[in-house]
Formats: sequence, C-alpha cells, structure tokens
Amino acid sequence: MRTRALIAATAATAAVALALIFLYAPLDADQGLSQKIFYLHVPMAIVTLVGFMAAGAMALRHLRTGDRSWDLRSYVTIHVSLVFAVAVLGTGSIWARVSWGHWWVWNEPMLVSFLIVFLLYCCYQPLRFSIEDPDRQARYAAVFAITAGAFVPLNFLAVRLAEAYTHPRVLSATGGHMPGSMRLTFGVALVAAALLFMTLRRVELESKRTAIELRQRWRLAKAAR
Amino acid sequence: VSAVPYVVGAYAGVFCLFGIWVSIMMRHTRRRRRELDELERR
Repeated sequence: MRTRALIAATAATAAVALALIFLYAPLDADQGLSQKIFYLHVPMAIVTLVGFMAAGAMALRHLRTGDRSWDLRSYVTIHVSLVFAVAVLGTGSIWARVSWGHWWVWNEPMLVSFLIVFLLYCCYQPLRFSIEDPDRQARYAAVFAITAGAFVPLNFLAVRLAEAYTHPRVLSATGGHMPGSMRLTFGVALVAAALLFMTLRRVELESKRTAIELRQRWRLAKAAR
Repeated sequence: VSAVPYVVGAYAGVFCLFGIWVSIMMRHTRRRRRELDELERR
C-alpha cells in the first residue's frame, strides 16, 4: 500500500473510531465518561507490545540473512513502539487519576510491568548509538531486540498469573464483560491504532531511507572530487 | 471530579503527540529529498 493510501485509510478509520467512541458506544455504568479513554489506551498498549515483538522478529531476520534493511525496519519499529508507549503511559495515568484518584499506583502489576518494558526499550537507542561500527551496531542491536522481544510475552504472562489489584482486564474470555456495541467500537479503535502505527512506521522508514541515500550520495560526490 | 477535561486532555494529547511526530518526520524527509535533488543537479 502506498504511503498516501495508508495515511488516508488511517484517517478514515480513526474518524470512524472517534464517531463510534463518542456517538455510538454507551456510557459505562460504573466509570461513566472516563471509560472512553479505554478505547484509546488499550488498543495502543496492544499495538505497542505487538510492535516490540515484531521488531524482535525483524532483528532475527537480520541476523539470519545479514540484510541491513531488516535492521532498519527493526530499529524504526522499536522507535515507533516507544512513541506509542509514551502515549499509553500518559493516557493510562490520566485514566487512573479519574478512576482511582492517583496518577500512578506502584503495587499494580500491569502498570509497573509496562513501565519496566518501556524502560527496557529506552536502553535500546543508547546501546545502538554507543557502537560506531555499523555492522557491529546492527548485530548488537538485533541481539537486544530479540532478547527484549522475547521478554515481552513472558512479562505479559507473568502479569496474567499475578493477582490483579485494581487494573481492569480487557483481553479475557469474557472480553472484559463488554456489550456488543462496546466490543465493536473497541475492535474499530484497535484497527485504527494498528493503522496509525503502520503509518508512523512508514513515514519514519521513508525518512531514514532518504537519509541513508543522501549519505551515500555525499560519499560518492566526495570520492569523485 | 468531572471526567470531561481528562478525556479531552487524553485524546488531544495523543493527537498532538502523533501530529508533532509526523510533522517532524515529514519535514526531515522533505529537507533530505531537497538536498538529494540539489546534489543530483550539481
């Protein structure tokens, strides 16, 4: 799909999602209006974690094939996932403030585990750019991305097995006890978040590829002189 | 506590974050493409 088509699809899906969230989905009987944040927060959290795991798979492909384009894809996917993670932490805190009266609760496994994953991936860029040799940089970054990517589902499972204190669970057999209209809205919001992720990733990939091409051309121009 | 400012803040914050991020990325790409074109012309 071309970038413009992807941007258009993202904008259209996001518009439908917003309309469903504020005009179609009913107000939650318990939480009221603050529950609307859930349609923003949970899809972004799911997409972030899937993004981290996908980056690990891309890094694995780089190690297996030696193709540097997979390293670039892995790097950009982690970068976009980190931006999403900032939004997840921000919206989660806002929701917690309205629902629990606190911006952050340290004894809630879901919150703390997500923060650990976020901080873990914050180490990716310093590690990557502390290595000058491009091949070694790509290799070490790939090993980090694979290891951290494997940690994400383990971390998710550990939180599932732990006793939840206050954080609601949406991904369950009962679907968080949501009625059909809420499930539909949540599904559309999830598709919108996934498309937004793909758009941001595509925009950054284009930017990085142009930068690489520019560097190569400069080198060629210098050599020609 | 009214939830309205929090809900508006959450949605506006996320849209601003991604909006700023996309505009920075697109500006970088445009600048690099311009530089590429200049280099080609030379």
